[in-house]
Amino acid sequence: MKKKSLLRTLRISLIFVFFISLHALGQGSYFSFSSGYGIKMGSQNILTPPSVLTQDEDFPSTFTNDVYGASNLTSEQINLSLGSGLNFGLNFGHMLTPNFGFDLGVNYLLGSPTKAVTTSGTFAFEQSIQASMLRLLPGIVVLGNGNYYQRTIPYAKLGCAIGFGSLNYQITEPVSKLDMEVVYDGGSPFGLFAGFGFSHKISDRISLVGEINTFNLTYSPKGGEVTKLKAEDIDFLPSLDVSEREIEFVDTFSDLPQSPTQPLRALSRRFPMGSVGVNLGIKICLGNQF
Amino acid sequence: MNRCYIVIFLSFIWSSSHAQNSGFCRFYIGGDFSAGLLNVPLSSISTQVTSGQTQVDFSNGKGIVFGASLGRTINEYLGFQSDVSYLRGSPVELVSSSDIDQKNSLTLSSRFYRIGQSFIVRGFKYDQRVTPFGRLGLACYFGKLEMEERMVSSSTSTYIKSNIVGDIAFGLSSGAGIEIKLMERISLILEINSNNISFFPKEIRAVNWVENDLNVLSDKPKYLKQTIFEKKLTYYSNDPPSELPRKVLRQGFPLGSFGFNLGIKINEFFKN
Repeated sequence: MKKKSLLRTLRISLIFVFFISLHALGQGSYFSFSSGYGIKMGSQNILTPPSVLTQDEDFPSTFTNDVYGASNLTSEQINLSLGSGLNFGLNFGHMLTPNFGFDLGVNYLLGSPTKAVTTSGTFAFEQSIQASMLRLLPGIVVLGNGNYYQRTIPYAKLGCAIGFGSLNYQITEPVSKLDMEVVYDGGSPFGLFAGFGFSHKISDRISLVGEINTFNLTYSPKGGEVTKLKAEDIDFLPSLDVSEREIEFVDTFSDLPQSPTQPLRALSRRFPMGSVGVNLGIKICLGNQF
Repeated sequence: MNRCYIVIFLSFIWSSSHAQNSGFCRFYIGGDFSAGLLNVPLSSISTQVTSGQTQVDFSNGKGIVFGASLGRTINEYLGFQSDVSYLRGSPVELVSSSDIDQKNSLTLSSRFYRIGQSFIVRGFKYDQRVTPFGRLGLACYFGKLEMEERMVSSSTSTYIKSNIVGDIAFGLSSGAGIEIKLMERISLILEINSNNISFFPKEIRAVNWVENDLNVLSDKPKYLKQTIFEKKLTYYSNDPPSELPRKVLRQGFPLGSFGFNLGIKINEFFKN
């Protein structure tokens, strides 16, 4: 309870910082646009996300590449982080002194899909999981700011990352024309963000920005819903009952019988969302550039 | 080979710092909290304790940190530093289940040496009393996770201690803070930091196995005493021989953390 209260206070404080940043636009303030690509960092292996198909005990319980032979099974572990992929961002900032200020980033992650293939005879089930997430990044920024004539300025950022988004999980199999899609959402991941880069002045108010950044984040969705289920060109979605269509993640699992009118209960999962990447962009100073 | 490169690289940094009057050193102590929490399937790490019905999200990056850094400034606002620290992790309880007759628990504690290499940005002016700084760099972890399993019933008690060991874990470390000038060359350092890292061990080896107060480690088959993690594994329908180690698919352990460091920085450390 205390932890929840602390988190709520922290989030309110962050929103407060955001508004301060916006209010402070003017002298010593800036905004920037950037885009970049991140690769996985802090990766992990995961269990197969729960769904109407993957609850089947015959389906692999781990997100691995599997090959079923006549009398054996070969599995290959997949280390993944769903934070890898393209991102687009907009930052607002205000410098309190020539070398210290607040920065608020709004960044959208278009995650790269991670795939696992299970081959059994002529069948080849392909699982794919991918994240899309809007991330709020309030933090502090330190500029290695010398004087007005300094053209290249190093900087470092550290702050929180708060995410809002969803995971898209898909299973396809070409022989049976199986196509299932589940969207997991709810909850907002809370983690850390850091960056180190250089801004290079190309005019009085405009600079080019290059940055290495890292996200330390994991995501635990609250639930999920099957949004597509087709096999042999037949749409099975309308015939699914609630327990087959909806998933509810719980922290403590009980062996109580599953009701068809209630969502499927499954132990909560955490998905790694860490990354390290490079962003390039343009920074525009609203007042005089320090 | 990786260790070799790191040692060579650090020696280079040490030498270059030594040669310059712009070198500095820091000594610090801090507390790290878990960040980047994840859950780990117990079947891959324990043959004795089974999963509970409650999900436990954890990171073994939580604990107390002692460290020292050595670095040099390239100019007034940019520098780099080598960092050596020790993480004494707090025990994380993954399972604590009990019924009428049996109580089980499994805890993991991290013991890691950390070597880091960071770029630092500092506020420009040397003459001001409070200087902000930020840093980002690589971090390498060497060490182990200590695993303790306890199974206690009304008639028996079992205690198993194992080490989960592996290669170097690579990740990123970042931080931001302030230096408060106390004397001409001595500053107080306050830093918030973040470490983004996962540990993929190579094996689990039991080092102590006590049943009803008797050490029975030597009596246990290798299959129960040693687990080897493999990237790719083939399972056969017949049981593997008990004189060989158990093999399981490679399992990652989160070591992410955020924390606070408090320390002393000595500027121009090598200046006579």
